[in-house]
Amino acid sequence: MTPAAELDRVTRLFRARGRRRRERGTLTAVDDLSLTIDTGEIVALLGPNGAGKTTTIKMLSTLLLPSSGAVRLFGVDAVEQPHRARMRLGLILGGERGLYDRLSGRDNLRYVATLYGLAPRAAGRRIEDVLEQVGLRGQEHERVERYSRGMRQRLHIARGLLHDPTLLLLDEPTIGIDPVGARALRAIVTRLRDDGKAVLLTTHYMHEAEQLSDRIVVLNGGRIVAHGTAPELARRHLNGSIVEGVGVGLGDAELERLRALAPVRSVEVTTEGAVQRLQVHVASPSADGAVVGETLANLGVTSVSSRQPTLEDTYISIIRHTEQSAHAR
Amino acid sequence: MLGSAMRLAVVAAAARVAVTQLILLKFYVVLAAFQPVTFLTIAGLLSDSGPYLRDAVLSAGLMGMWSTTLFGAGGALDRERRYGTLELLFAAPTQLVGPILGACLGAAALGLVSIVLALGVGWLAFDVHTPLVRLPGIAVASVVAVLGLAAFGLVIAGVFVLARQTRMLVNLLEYPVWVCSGLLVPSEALPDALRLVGLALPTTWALQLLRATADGSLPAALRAGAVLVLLTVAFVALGVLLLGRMERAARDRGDLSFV
Repeated sequence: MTPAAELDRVTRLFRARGRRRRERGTLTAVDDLSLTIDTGEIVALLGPNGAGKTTTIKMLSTLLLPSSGAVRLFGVDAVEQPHRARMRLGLILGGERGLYDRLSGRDNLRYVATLYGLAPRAAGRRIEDVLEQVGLRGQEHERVERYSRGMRQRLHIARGLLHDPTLLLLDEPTIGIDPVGARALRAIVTRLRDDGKAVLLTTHYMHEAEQLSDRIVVLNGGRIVAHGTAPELARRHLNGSIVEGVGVGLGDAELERLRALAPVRSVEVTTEGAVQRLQVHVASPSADGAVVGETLANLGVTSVSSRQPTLEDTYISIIRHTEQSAHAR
Repeated sequence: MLGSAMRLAVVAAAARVAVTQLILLKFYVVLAAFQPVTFLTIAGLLSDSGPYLRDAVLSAGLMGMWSTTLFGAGGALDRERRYGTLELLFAAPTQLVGPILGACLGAAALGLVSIVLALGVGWLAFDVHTPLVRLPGIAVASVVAVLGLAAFGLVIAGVFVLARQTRMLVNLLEYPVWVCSGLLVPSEALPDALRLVGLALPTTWALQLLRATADGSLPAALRAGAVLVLLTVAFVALGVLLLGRMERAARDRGDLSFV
């Protein structure tokens, strides 16, 4: 079956413009990236700021040309035939912008329906459908400038769904939305996947990626540094457990003693005033964990507890590891 | 890609969106109403000669139309950029020329307010009468002028897709077009070089068309109208070409969302 979206060895370079010669040069935003998204799946694209997530979304949405490589949407070459590729594509950007503030919600949708070639009667029906889906019925006649952030984001989603696209690109769709609104949006995204849509989602919220996605792709420095389901990523990149505790006045020597223990993979210390919060990644959760617990007790660390790593732990570990490898090179 | 009927629907929808947005901007009301009336008042106070005042009325109306077109066409892209909607226009399956031409048409159409106001103020304050029988002709000529100016606005918008300093460029273009078209001072008073530039501007021919229509001179009106229509077609063709290239260049450079 033809994938909904396909990036084949895509590289995107940007020319850095500066007044001085040393400020000029070429930045590699995306580097030899290959990725496919199938219908009926949600793929989460994670990565720190500048990792290449938005550049990837922009290339998939045909807003940006790749410097090399191929971008195909439903088998259509998105570089050569962007207008054809866009018919089945929905782009939903997070944040306050992207709407006509002085128009009503309904007028925004009516304009977008025309841009996507919907006949007036079909557009009317679709507008009712999407307003119902996103829960904006009853508020569609208000000017958008009076909408709350959550309402604006729901209108963004309504706009992206209006022409019933098969592939949806969501760039941080829940950014700045209250928890209730964010949960409602997540429910909509899940329903879209269940309806057979392909969804590519970028987010900084790990729980959102874990909850929504069938597959996670982690980008750093424009490259894919990890991919798989959340449990697969944890197994591959952060097997073991996380031991946490609270210490006071621990010096470098004590922390080095902890790091030197065989099962310890890493020790993270967050200082809050006089208090140090420790996160120790232990490679094997069984007997070795007890050794770590004993050492922590000897160092005067209290409130010691052990837990399974979350996606956030895994993600941080992946990013740290790739950054350390990059520095070592 | 959309069919021809849908492309026209896109232009009409974009014009409607532009008008809805622009009439809520106080600055725009000043451009369309206050500015032409001010210029006409100054002209009226400086001279009381009948033909001169009749020309001043038509010129003031066209000055307003040019300002609304220029700020509407240039400002349209600036506003789309500020609202973050320019990227979404690019991501739609329609070609960019449709929504932008619509925005230019909407902006130029608001210039009709300037023409009506100038005719009204000319009549009430300076006794410049336009025979009722000529008003339908002036209405048609004004619509042809709207099309010509919108087409020229399309070319300007095409240049502005990749320009960061659109507001500055807009400010730079307002007065030179007034001068070269003979709106601010009679064309006959201009140096030859400026008069030549004026021949390529739709405002020049729109003024001649309105003047001939107000005089009831059909041959002169037809001649000016034909040149204006030709210029309109040429500017639309140039605008389509320019916007197509700029669209590709914007995708290449990734330069859409800067504000």
